[in-house]
Amino acid sequence: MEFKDYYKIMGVDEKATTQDIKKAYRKLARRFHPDVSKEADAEKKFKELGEAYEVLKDTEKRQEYDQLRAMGTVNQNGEFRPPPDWESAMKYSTGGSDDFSDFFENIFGRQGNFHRSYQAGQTGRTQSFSMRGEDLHYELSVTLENAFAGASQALELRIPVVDEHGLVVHQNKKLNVKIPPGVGSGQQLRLKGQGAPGIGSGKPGDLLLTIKVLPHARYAVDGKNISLLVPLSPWEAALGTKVTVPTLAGKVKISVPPLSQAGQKLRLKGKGLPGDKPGDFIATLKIVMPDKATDKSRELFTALSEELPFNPRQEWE
Amino acid sequence: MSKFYELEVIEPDQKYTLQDVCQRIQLEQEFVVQCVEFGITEIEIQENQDWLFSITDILKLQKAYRLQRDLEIDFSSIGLVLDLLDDIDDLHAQVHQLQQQIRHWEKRNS
Repeated sequence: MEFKDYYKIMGVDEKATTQDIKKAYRKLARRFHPDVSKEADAEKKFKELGEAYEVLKDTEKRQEYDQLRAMGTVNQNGEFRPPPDWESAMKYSTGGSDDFSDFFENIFGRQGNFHRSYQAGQTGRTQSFSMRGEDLHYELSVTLENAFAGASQALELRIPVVDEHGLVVHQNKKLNVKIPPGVGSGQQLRLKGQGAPGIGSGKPGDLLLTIKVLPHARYAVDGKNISLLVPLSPWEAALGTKVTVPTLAGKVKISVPPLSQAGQKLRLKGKGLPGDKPGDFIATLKIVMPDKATDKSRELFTALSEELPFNPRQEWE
Repeated sequence: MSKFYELEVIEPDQKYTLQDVCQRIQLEQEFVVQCVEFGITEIEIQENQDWLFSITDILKLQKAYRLQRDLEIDFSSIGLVLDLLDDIDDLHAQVHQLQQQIRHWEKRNS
């Protein structure tokens, strides 16, 4: 098993007092809480932290861990070995979280929440007790192309299950799901009966997925609207033109009216993400100067400036 | 080839009763009532005084529960934390969109 340095995880000294440890836990818990943190591996770090705290806050567990830490050895493969004849005094304790590392389970035994009152007898309830399983919620990231056209996607989930001892354990579960076309960020989807299993004859809960549309290199997405910057030459903007624009549904010709301004938006109704209320496709105009000039072009621009006196900074005067 | 499950779109106007909510996410009724009283979720109250929750309310309640359990945050602060987290998400989305626009402009101009 891999050794876990709980002191390092919590960023505290071996001599830290229980008070220091509590303080460190509170600080790090705020930082890595998966509902709060934006860090990619926040969930993993939060679990590690919970495990470290579970041990270090408890004087008995901490003593045992300290002994093991001092006397155990790490072999060439990085495998941790407890000292010979070592046996935990606490193997059968209960309480704590249910998703701890192999290292923890090897030292302190497999702990789980006694899953509330589900175990028959615990609260005087009989075997016939049943309860609907919990709804589980996950975020599902999809590419814009898949959000637009719909797609099949493989999901890997960790589902809490109550085992024969009444302990909650997590099981990996793979599911292939079909995403309907036109889902936008924040859209919620349901998969009936794929949440946590029910207790007794209770039905399983549902799986809820919140869609997150991934950033796209070309398009920006806002809800169900898709937008694109359309570069125009100054003369196209001045005279008006027809431009072929790539939308997710294929190429579309749009008319740019004469005297168009940079930043002006042309809206293609219903050409955004599809659905009952489809979004729009928004083409935002942008004017680009050529990076080359010739004698003749300079002459023409000069003629233009004489023909059409124009002060774009009039509002400053 | 393994089975493909069809996902069902949840309409935002789909509503759940208090009892339904407690069962679905296994929260104590007392906790949910407190969340509503502290304005952590703003629910719809029907004419017959029944409470109705949307799926967004339910997800908020779950988040509130985790924050209270893991960070020992009290009810009045949970509301504040959740509001701030929402604001941060909105700002992140805006920043991202603006950055994307800037990148587009720079690319075209380089």
